[in-house]
Amino acid sequence: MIRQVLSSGWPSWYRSFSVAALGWVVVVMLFVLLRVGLVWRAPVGGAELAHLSGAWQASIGIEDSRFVPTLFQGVAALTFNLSESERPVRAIALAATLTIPIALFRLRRSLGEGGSLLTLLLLGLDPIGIVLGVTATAAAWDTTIAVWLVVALIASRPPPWLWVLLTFLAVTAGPIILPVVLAAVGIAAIREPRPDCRTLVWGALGALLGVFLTSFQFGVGIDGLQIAPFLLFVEGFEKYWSAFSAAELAALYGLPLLIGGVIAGVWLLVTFRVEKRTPTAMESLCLGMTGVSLTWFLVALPSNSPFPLGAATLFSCFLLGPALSRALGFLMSVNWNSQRFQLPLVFGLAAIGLFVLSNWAHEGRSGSADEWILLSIPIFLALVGVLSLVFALVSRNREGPLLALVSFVVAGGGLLITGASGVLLSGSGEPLPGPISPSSARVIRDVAFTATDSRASVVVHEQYRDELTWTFRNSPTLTLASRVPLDANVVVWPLDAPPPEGFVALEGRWVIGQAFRAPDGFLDLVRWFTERNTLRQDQELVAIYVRGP
Amino acid sequence: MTDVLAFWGVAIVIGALALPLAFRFFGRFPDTGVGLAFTLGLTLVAAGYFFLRVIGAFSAGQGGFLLVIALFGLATCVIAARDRNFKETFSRSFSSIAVVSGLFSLLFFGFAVFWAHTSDIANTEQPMDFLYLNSMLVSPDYPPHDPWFSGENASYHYGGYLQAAVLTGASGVWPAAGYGLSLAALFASAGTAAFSLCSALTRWLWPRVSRSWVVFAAGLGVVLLLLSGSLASSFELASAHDADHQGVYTAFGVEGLVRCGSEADETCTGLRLGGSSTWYPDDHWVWWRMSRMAYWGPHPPPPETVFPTTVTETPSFSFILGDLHPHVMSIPGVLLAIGVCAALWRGRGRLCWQGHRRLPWYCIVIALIFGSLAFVNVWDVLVFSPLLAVVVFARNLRTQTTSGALWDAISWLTPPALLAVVAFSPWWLDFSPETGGVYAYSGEGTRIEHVLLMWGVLIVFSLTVLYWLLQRGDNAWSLSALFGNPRLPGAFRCRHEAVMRSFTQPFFVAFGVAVLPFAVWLIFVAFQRTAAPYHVGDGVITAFSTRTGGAWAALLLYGFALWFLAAATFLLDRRRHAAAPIAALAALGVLLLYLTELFLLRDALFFLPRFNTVFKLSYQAWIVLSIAGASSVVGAMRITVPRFRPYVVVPLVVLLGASLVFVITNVPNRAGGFNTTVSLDGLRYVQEADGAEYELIRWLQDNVEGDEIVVEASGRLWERGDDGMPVLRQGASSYNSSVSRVGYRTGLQTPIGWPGHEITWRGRSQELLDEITRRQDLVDLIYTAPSEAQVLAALQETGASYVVVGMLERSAYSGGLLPPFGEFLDTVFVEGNVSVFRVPISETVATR
Repeated sequence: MIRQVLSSGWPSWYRSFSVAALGWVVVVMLFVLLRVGLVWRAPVGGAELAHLSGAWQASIGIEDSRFVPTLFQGVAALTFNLSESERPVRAIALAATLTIPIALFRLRRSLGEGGSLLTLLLLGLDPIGIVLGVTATAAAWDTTIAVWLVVALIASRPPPWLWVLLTFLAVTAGPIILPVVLAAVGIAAIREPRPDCRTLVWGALGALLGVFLTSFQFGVGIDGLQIAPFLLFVEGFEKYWSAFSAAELAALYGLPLLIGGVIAGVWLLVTFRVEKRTPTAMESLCLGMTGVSLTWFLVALPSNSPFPLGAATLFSCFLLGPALSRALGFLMSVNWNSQRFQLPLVFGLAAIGLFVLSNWAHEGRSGSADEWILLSIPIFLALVGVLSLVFALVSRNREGPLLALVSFVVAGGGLLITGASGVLLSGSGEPLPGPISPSSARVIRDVAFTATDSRASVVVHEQYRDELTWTFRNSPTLTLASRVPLDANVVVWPLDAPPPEGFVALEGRWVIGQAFRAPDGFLDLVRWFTERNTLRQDQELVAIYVRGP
Repeated sequence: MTDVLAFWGVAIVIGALALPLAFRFFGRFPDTGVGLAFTLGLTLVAAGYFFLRVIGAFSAGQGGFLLVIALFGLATCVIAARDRNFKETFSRSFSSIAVVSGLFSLLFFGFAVFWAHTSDIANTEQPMDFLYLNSMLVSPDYPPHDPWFSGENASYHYGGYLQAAVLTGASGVWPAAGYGLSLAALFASAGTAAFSLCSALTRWLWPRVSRSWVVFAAGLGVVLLLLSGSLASSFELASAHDADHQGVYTAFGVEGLVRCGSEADETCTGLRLGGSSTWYPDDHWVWWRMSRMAYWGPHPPPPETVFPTTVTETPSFSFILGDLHPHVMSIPGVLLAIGVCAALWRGRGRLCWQGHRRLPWYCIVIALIFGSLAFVNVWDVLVFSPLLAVVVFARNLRTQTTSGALWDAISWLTPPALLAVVAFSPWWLDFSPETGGVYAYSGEGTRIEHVLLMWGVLIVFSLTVLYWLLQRGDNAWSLSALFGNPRLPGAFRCRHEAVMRSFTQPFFVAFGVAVLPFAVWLIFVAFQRTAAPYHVGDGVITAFSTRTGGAWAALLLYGFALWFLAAATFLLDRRRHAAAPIAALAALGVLLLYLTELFLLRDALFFLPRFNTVFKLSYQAWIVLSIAGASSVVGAMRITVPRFRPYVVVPLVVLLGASLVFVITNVPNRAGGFNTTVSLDGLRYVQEADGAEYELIRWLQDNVEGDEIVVEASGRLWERGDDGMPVLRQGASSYNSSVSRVGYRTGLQTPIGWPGHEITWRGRSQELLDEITRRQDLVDLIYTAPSEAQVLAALQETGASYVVVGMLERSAYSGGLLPPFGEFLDTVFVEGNVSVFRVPISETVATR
């Protein structure tokens, strides 16, 4: 570790402040800053909308399939007794997420100082991780619990009794902890030493307690034996928790980490063979977790759930961080003199190619055959340049392949930063999360209940059953119907449905839900990367009718 | 293509995950059980899914199937980690894994190509099969519901459908395509299982023989099991090309297959059909005749056999038909059970309850394998559980006295038996088949010609196991020794008398085995516990005289074959000779056929009492004899002196060739000469005939929850009477793929489906008949009621939320009987002539 004395006149603890420590401070600050704002800014949408609705129903004592009995859902339901806003619940999610840097700090020995720091940096920049760590989905604590499970399994030897808490948290968490559990059990079966009997007994007790509480849905009701991670895993394939499929979300936000994770995993496996060594416990666990989560992500590609991607990017970071650390060390040791012309040329050619592509994307055209031929020349030359560079380095150093990882991260890092800043700053202008319940939806509720007198019978069309719970929370009793009842005073009805007889429409543009459409092809995707807010948006418009005089 | 690859990929993954278990169970097999791994894995995954759903651990959907596969993988990973020999076994099995996965893929893709030419789910009971497959996929609770009897759980052995659903659901394939791909996986897994078993049985005969003999036997096992069929097909082929001869055909008992031509000839006993325009018989569904012996006899069949009283299907027939029925889906499971028995027989040491303490998971897996036998096809557990018990007892006999062996066998078998009963109790508590006990069969019996045409090849092949008894040399247990061969070894000759006693004893015991069923039959007949397709009178004399001479000859054939095969089993087992399990399987196969000629198990098909007994037992016999036949015939070839080998091989090859005519000629017939549109979508025919109906299915699948009830036509036909009131024109019937289509095509609950099948599944009772009528009346009232209030009241009573009106409803309730649903129900789907209406929703919602 390189230590730099900043000033001999400063206090001794400050004098010994290392670059690494500085790095930790910066990365932790970045990690925190990228999340705090979301508590206020992020729109309620996708999985969060469903799970907040479920938690709300649980808080008023109504059984609802959207209440998935994770511990966080139980806490969210309790929180609604104090406030009807989603922000306190998000704050609780955030509070847990902010312990992740501490967990990573404790993993320094296993991941390496640089590896641990870079893993935290990647986790901090992971757009899907940012959203899942702050928004109040049923799996809001998953990332935190998963990371702390890794710490417990690898970096610390918690006393056996603590496994009551750990397994309890795991059983009452969401699906993102499943890769850790599966990998850990698999590795525990293969590797020595195996967990001792006391640890297993305490762990089993915690798990049983968790299953007991989740089966009783934390007091809401009982509906068979329920294991929360299983429930959320299975429902993720069926429910509409994201406007985009996992594949589309990955294309927008997850590619750098996913591809980087795969490259890092392959490199690690090759390293074992080349260096003729057995993997450490941490490496085994990382490979296992990433393998399981990537498999989950691949089979769930068509599903409309953010959790498979969240798991895949989370665990990819654990492979990618240490690999990047090693790659950076390698790059610093390389003598770049011989490549002093090659590198700028490659970057220049690649920039030309990207410029042309983004230009086409903006113009919304795909270029003629001649233009494609012209474009292929710089891209081809850039590829040749990269390959020759890699070849030259590989021939001199066996860590040369990591260059591919670095070059990918250079390109992917930009995407990560834009994605992270997008979800932090754009709010409802970003497709993640989605579909959202816009703030105007709450206005519909206010208007509906103040349009006539307080005893007005408000009727909402049944097709808004899912949106209704959150939008109309804490309202007087209302009616959900497919036909307008005779005693209705105020009717919230689809805009495209025939207006009910004897009612007058209230003027205004009433949006009850909105969602972005997925990019239409590669160029559309490129355009979105270079210019946010270009995706088309579908708005669910309703009409508010009031019984006429 | 993506669907096919996804489905295949899931199957391969399940097989791969099951390898650690297969290694532990079948480590003594030459392929270390790789060929049985997929079946083992699928059996356990399906059982695990069933239990987790029953306890409500998760809801329906793809994720549940994937989760269980992942948990299964975790469990096998732990087993692999605790297996000290795993790495060594795994590296030893590389070639087996390559061969078996290659064979699996070949059979899977080969069948998929065939099925893509004839994928309609529309014939015979295919709609019913599709019904259960869909039910397994969409049922919101487990045990799964019966889509044709809303509010009730399925009452059927549906384990096989659950296995098909595991593959379909996990791969995310549309069920209509999953149906055919499940058949392909079944075909492939049956093939690999047969390959594994035959290779093991043959390898054990000669541990050091060239691998080519083993592969030959294994390949022959696959061919006999999946591709061979009735020899009557050769006659069918000949007559299709006008090469028939009335006399010859009559002599072989296939006078019904003679083609009489369009010109009526009063003396001709065959079909009014002309020759074929293609090289294969091109009559519509010509292969169907091979599964109904009544069609082989004089045409037309006598009135009492117009609906054939016996069904003699074979696996090749089932796969050509595309029959996703329990008896077909159980083939791999049966082979797995036989494999477990063979592995136990081959193992060492006594089996007692202490063994389960050391390896508790072994007990669990045995319980799930044999419990699944009943879960998939109840008939199998009746046959193969006793086989397990006999094997355990026989193994214990090697080291213990009879009573000790018996006691230990009971103590070893009891824990898995209890576990199986408990584990599958949610299923069997709902399972209520109508069984009327065992009766003596007192009908005409099966003609010897038909027996030989149907099972002759397999019986002949299996009987070659006796050849081992004729082996010369110092084998003191050989049949030559039994009959005092002068070239006996000296040591043996000295103990000749004592040895003769010890050898003749099994021979007499075997005689008892062969005679006992007949003696019991006589007692049953004497006490008038008889049944026949039609009443033939009571008493022994009547029963004797009713059975034809040909049928008596068939009985004698079975009796003698059983005697010799049982004797061979006892003699070979006494010395732990590797041919013993082959002889035992051959004896079991012949015993099953023998029993079908003497007894019957009365079930819901009371009007066709012998139907299911012959059908199910002969099917099992086919499976068992295929394995025994392939192993024993290759064994016979191998030990035959080379100069005599052609005399053995040529007739056997001729017989084998003749048995393959069925598949060779009927596959192109079924596939329309491979000139049809290629598609794996089993509902393609619906799309082509009525696109709106197809869209209806899609819409219902996407928009209706599994716990909601949909009303469709009851199947009865109505018209407006003279007084303007609805009049019943025709009652409901089963076997009509256009009726009850919502239920079987979506798996959603409907009030009433095929009534005949509900009676079969639930057991005939007046209460059930009344309930069926009540449901039919309610459904018909919904479609014919003159007032809105009556419709809504009927809908409320059925608990239904949706009403479907398509071409079926328009024709079933013709004459303007259909109420104006759109006026008082919500119209939620309209496409062409098809509409779906929903009961209006109005509910109060509390938000605080």
